[in-house]
Amino acid sequence: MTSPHRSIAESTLRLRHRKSAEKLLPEQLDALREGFAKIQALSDRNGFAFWAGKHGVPDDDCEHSSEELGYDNLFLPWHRAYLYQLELALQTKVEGSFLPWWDWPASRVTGGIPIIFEDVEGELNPLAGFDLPPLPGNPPDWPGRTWREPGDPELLPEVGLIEEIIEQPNFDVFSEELEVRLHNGVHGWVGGTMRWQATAAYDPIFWAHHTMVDRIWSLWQGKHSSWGPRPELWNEPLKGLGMTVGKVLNTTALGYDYAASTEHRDPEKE
Amino acid sequence: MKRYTTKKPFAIPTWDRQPSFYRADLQFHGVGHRGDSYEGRVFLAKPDADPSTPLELEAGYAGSFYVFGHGPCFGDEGHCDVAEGPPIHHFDYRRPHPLSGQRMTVTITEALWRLIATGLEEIEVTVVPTNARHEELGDILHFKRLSLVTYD
Repeated sequence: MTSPHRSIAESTLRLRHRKSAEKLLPEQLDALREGFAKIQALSDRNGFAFWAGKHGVPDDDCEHSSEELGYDNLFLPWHRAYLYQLELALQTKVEGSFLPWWDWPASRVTGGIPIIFEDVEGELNPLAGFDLPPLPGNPPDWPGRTWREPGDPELLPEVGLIEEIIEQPNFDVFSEELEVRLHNGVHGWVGGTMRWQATAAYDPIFWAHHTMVDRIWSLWQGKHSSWGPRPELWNEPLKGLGMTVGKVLNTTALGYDYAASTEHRDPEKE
Repeated sequence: MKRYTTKKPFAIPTWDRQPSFYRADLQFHGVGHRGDSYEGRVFLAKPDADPSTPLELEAGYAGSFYVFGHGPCFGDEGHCDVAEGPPIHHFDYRRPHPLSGQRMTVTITEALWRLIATGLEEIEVTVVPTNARHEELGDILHFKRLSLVTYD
């Protein structure tokens, strides 16, 4: 019988590497599209609509910064757990699928939304949009599908700004700057359903956007040799996701990282 | 409100006509986010700024903050009402209401240094809310307090 405890060394060899949406291999893109198509067809708790509905309407579980006294900002841990759950739903349907990240600065150059998220003529692209389920309190003119109204590509974040924010040594300040100066602006930039917290997660590009946010946290963790949230918060539950802050600090323990490539040497077996 | 310009200007902290700080922040407290997302473009000594004003220090631009709006209310009556004051009783451990106010900070050090060099002793702050297509927005800008905070 194998031990349920897995060593970090063993886990490292089994990690999935989340890649840039601009650099997916054809088979990786096919797996992603197939995974999204399959979970979008489900209406139960394994389905895309179920998970999308946790962020805003109807569940309103997501965490963003607040100025309330005594409030601790769980923006980054909550969204890391959220991505993890959706990625598991994808992998349950298509082994080997993973969430890619949206390279915002690259989109300044390429002119906007990464091409894999755009409509493909004559084909149904599950990454381009999603037919919205009936939502409580739908406005009378509510469209049946997610939509986007992208802005001027030059308003997307520059590499220099991302690097400046990663340099910030204090986690709470880093988290707030990442949320307010990068994350918020890109939601507004995509426009349409992405510009509202209530509906953003129904747009498939939301998941690539937040994977980029998660990647920046991961880069910060590596640079500063720190998990980020202070230990008193590690037992805090993450609303609606069945996980705690402590459970999501280490991406290796969740089975993924953001390495572009890896190569290993094992001295005992060489 | 549609846009905002301070009615009473901020005094610029100086010492012997030189900046008396190494960093200056504008802090917007209690920022509301119940409608659309927007960029709040902050200008100093430029009350006539609009969405076409260049985003350059020379044009008075000091920086931006970005609000991720909640969107329209999808709930029943009272769903989007944020209760003011303390929790309802000692055992209320709920997280804050999703629409409780946020803080936005814009670091304006360089823009302020530049104005001190021109001999200015006080500044008007103007905020122009725009979308990503450089369009000015309607009644979307809501906050409770604006603070100029400097560090020496």
